[in-house]
Amino acid sequence: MSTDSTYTDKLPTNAANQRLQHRKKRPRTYWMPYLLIAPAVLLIMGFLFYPMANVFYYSFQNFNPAKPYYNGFIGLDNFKAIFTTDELFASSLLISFKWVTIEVVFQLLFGLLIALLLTQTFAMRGLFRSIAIMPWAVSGVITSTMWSLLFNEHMGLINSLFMKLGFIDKNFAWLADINTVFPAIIITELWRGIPFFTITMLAALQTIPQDLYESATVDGAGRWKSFIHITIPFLKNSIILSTLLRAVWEFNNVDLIFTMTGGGPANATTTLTMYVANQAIVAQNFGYGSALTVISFLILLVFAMGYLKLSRFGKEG
Amino acid sequence: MLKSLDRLFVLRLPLLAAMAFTLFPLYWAVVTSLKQEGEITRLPIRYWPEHVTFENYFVAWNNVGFSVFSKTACSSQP
Repeated sequence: MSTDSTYTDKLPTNAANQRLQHRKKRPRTYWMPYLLIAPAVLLIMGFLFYPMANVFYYSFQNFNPAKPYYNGFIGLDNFKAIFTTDELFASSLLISFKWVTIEVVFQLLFGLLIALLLTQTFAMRGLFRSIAIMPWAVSGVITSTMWSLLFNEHMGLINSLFMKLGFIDKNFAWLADINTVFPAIIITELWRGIPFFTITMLAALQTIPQDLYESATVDGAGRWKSFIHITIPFLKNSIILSTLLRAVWEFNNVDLIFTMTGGGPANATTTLTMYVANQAIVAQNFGYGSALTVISFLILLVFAMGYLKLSRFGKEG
Repeated sequence: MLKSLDRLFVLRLPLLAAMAFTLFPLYWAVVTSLKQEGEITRLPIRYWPEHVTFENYFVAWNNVGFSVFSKTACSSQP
């Protein structure tokens, strides 16, 4: 449309011509572009927007297929209950916060460390690189099975190992004690999550020109100085993006905790997402679960926007 | 001498620790899968099965239903 107006601007401005132009300038509807993007829009609406809208809709309902008599619109009652009487919500939010922070920080730390090891040149580097990435290919359920076997009270390897080393003097149920269950699932998730950071950091390290390090060495910079002044600035954007992604994923992580502890014992491992799963999927309390989902969605939205803003993603310096 | 010592601490030892942490659970899953039913729970724990057996794989495939699960995982039809 704008091209039309610039075109007419250049035409002679006598009255007859203007009338002619006026007739020609009838607004035209271009339907072709809409037709072309229609499949994508429909797909997004169907697969993304509809389920999300559904969750928002059910968050204002009392919806439990097991008790159909009480189903119906209840306004903000779900939210009121969550914020006033629900003690588990506050504790699960705190556990979620601990879970995400510890996981992301340690995964980034160890992932970066292993990536720095694997970027050096040595024999059979390709083999070591593929081994380092292997846990990423293992599903959450299998990871939790493997580690449950290791943490097992009666036949677990960790008990036998720790007894030999003298740390403990009798078998200990790692996954049944409130004090040890959280560190246990943290280690399990670290095992699976570190490779993600190893891959992304390894990829980002390849983009750093090697002559920068050479000139830094010539100028007398040591290993630590080169790391701070060359490696970290080059990795900055990758670090921000991967930690953001990972934080969202860890916040939403449910497969590992669900299969390993189910949120117990005594809700010591009930993260917010785990709480949603227990409410909606296990207890069939879909209305309440939807309200919790809406809250966790808003938390993630605010977090992601704030994180990108504060970290100045994509900006120099 | 100094260079090889440096390489030991900056590359070889951390890499060994990382590889051990990564591989050990996988190794343990494989070893346990090769043990006989009774040996899995027997103490003291052995790091290599006394009698290597593939029986667990046959049981998983035929009796537990892994033949069906694998088909489900590869297609939309069970």
